[in-house]
Amino acid sequence: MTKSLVIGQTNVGKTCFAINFADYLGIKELKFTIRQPAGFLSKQTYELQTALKELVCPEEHTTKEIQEIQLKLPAGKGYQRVNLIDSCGLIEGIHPQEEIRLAMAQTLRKIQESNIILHLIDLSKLNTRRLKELPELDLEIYNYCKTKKCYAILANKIDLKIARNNLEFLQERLGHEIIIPISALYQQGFKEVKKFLLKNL
Amino acid sequence: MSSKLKRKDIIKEFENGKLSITKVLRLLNNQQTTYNNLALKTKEEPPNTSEKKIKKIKDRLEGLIGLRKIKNLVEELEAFVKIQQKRNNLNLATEPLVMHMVFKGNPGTGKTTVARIFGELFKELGLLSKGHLKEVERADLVGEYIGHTAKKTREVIDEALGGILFIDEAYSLARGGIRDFGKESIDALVKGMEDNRDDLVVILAGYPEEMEYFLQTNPGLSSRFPIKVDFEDYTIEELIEIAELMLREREYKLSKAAKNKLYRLLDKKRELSGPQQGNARTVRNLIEEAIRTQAIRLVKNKKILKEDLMTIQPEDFK
Repeated sequence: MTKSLVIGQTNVGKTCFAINFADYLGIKELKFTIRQPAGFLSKQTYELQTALKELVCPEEHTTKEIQEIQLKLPAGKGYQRVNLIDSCGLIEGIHPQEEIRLAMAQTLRKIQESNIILHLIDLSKLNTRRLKELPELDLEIYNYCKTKKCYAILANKIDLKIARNNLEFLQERLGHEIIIPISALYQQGFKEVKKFLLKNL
Repeated sequence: MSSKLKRKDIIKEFENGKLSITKVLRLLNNQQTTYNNLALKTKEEPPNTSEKKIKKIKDRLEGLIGLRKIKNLVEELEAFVKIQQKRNNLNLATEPLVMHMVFKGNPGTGKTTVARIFGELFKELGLLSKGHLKEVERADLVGEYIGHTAKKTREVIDEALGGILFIDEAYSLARGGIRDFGKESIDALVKGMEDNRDDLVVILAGYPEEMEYFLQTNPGLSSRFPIKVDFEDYTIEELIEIAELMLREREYKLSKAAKNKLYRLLDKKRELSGPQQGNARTVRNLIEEAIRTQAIRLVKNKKILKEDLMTIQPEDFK
């Protein structure tokens, strides 16, 4: 089963993307397999809309546990199955809460185990006028993942005006090929994401 | 694997709040690049390095005086091995690469030196895993009681695995009478060659006539050593060249008169004892003696110039 990991800083829209992408693919009920950092699994079923309400929330660090969603991508006459793994947002510095550090460590481990890495970047947060560079953390994630396996950057929030300028900056810095501009909330750019996943299965 | 352990440690440190995540990623990234480089090296050395090494080895061989036939043989063998490897890659039938050799030649004609070069060359061509030289003679192979010989020979073969087993005066293995265990050694040797045909090359060496006789009286052996190399005696001109080469390496040189004297000396030696005594080894002995004699001559002088120190004069040859 192909494992596709969604990774990125906190509040970039990873969970929002995962759930909306599932919705886009026509999944009505989300069966979440939640793996607690301590190790054991628990299964929960959500209706998609409920999931959106409960799991996507503006407070930082809402996804503490990693959620795995089984997706069915229509391919030809049938389907290709992919496990989409939502992860705990990574945050710069040393976090004071051990719980969160453990969850982030689990994300790091998942990078090794996954076949495909989807790196979400919040375009609206790229302060390109002040910073001449990308946030260090995203740069390190890029360096680490680009050589390993199938890697794509999902540049999120293109529905926002400011995001479009920042997109250009990002494309210039990291190259057009690996960047897929999306809006997780409005389900834009999902066709490209689907194409990318299918190509690399 | 040590690099995987380190990964675990890095993540552990992060969990304990000792490292920031950016630092962790950077460390993991560096480590991964080193790991990848190592993997590349162990799996497959880029062809350039092997080719460069092969060129270096061949240059060394070129640097030796004479040995024209051997130099041609090396070209042949190198080409043969490479073509067989190419054929293998394209799934064509290949010739078995049997590289066991017989070196026939008088002492001091370069047999051991060339054997050592073959070892290194075969390593670069991928025929041998280590390419070292294990030099033995009868005493190393033959024992004193039943079973002792086989054990000794097996041990020697074990030490030679991955490289070249060079058996000097090989004919001595067949010389003894009924109570001699030389035969046992030959049997053990043949078995060892069969069992380790992928990673062992055996070279039998010795005087030309004796080696001929040895191979004729052991026909089974002869067929196992397909490559037969004659090490010709050096001409006196070649010996002079060798002498000058040896002296040059030690930053000495021959005066014209000394060169002439050396020529006459070597000529006489050859006349008296034949080529068995007059080869490169003899030259080395003469050179070393001359160096010592020169020292005695010069040390008496009050003023010693650099030119004096470097030149060997005819009186230094006795």
